[in-house]
Amino acid sequence: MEVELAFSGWSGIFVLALYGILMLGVGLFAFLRNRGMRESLDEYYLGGRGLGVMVLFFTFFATQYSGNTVIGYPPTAYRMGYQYLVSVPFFIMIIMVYLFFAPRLYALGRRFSLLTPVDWIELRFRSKKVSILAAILMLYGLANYLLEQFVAIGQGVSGLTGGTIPYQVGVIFFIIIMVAYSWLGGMRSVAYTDTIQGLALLFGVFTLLIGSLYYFGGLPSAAEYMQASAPEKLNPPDSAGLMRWFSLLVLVGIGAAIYPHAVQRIFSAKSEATLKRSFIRMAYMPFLTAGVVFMVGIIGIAAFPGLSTADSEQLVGMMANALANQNAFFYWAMVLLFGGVIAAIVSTADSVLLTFSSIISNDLYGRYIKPDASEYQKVLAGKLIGLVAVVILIVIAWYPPATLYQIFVLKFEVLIQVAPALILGLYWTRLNTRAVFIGMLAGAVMAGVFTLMGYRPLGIYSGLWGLLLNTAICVIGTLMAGVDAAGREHARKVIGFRYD
Amino acid sequence: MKPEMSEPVRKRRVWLGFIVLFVLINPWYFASDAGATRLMGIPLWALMVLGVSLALSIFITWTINTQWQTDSDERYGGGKGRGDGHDSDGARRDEEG
Repeated sequence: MEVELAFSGWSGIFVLALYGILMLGVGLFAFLRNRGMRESLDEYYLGGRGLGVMVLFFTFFATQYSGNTVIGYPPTAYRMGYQYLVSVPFFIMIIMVYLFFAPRLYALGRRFSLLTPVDWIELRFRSKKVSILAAILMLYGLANYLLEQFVAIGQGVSGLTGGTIPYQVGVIFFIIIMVAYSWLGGMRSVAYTDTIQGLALLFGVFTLLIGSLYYFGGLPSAAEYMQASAPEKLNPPDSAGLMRWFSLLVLVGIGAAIYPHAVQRIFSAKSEATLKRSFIRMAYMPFLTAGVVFMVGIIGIAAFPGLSTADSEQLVGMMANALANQNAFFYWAMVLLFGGVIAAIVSTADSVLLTFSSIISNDLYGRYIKPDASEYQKVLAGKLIGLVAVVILIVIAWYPPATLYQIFVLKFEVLIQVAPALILGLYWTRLNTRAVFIGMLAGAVMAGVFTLMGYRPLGIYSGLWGLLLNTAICVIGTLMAGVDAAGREHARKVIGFRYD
Repeated sequence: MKPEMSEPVRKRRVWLGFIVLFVLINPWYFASDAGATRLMGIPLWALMVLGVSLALSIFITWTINTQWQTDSDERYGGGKGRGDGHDSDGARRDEEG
């Protein structure tokens, strides 16, 4: 997502600096309002389980929509036309998938004071092996996810400032700001800044749409252009396109809903009603975000015809440049838009870093390394190890290794392997712990090997093959081996409910 | 007594609704040249997909409002003012023990 913006130099620097100061201010505000917060894991990582509807909604919003939604989706719509309309329903699918596990996980989170997804797996299976493997897979996937965001921050900043601020300076500046406000206010800072970042992004995409409609012509002229030059962009997908449409719906729905930082947000809701209201709002956001950026891409088809694949990646930058040249309003709106894009990347990164630290604090350091540590020490350990991880990731972002670079690309493929333990464990009292462990390990290895070899049987994503193997081992292993009486009794106690 | 729970995953009507809407969100039921029929520059099939997507959002709203109810907040209290983490650790041990 490297976008060069000729229109923006010092004004870009001004907006970024302003944005940095604002974020630090939010961190300081959260710190001053909640002194003593650092003493407790609940306070630091879940905002005291007290996030209200608005803040909870925006923090879910920030984990789902990143800068890539704004920069990367219009070019895809540009190339695929209406066949990329799938980007609207797939964001709705995420909420649908949540409904199959969030109600129960929220109830259990309240009852057992769960802090992280690994906390739940430990409670359910009482197995050191399963918990540690799940924690390692999550840390590994989250670290790579964070690395990707760092690279995107650097490219975004150097693009927005027309290269005035080099890539490295941009990365360092925003990482220092991000770590500072996260340390100051924990989940509260992250959620409050998510709110500001989300509003900036929404303002930016709407201005982009309005400007595009006004200056580049509306959808009818885009449609006429497509009819004459590439009618397939107007038509529904063919059979291969349908397969792609279907697998995108399934993969994005399941994948985005079980990201550890997405799951953890369920625990930070103030109440069940708050969580429900946030989900309901999220169910309509795809029309206002994915739908809007999709329209921008469609308008681009007629406004900037005949771009190659590589050139089309610059589409949003080109449109913003053209709009910024119209008048002062659009000039500043476009500067804000790109500030909002970088804000959205930072807001995704901060959520990931906080969840990363919480797994270190609670599930590794607090449970196995030093169980008698005070909560203050646990939080401190999470912060410091999180910082070490950030430094290592910056070095990797700086000097990408020539070989084996792909091990830093694995994210979703390994994260999704935790899903059977997480979700089957919620409902199936007989689920066998050893089968869960072997399934998770085998699934992760298979997904990793397939990805490294670039192997995709039947065109299906490697992570999904791993998940299939993983689930099959869990189910068949459980059916064959069953579970002992004590294990079942424990499971009944944990996930037993009265149903009406 | 066990905690009480009403959840979407156990409701046949929820599964049925989601399956029907999911099937309709995949645009397999249009003619291959359906892009020629448009309303305000948007192909009719795309409007149909958007309509079903909106129906899914509305169905999700209905499901959340009517099919999801637990007594966890009444039993275990809301988030704020629950005391510090040490208390909750104690509560957890009680539950597990």
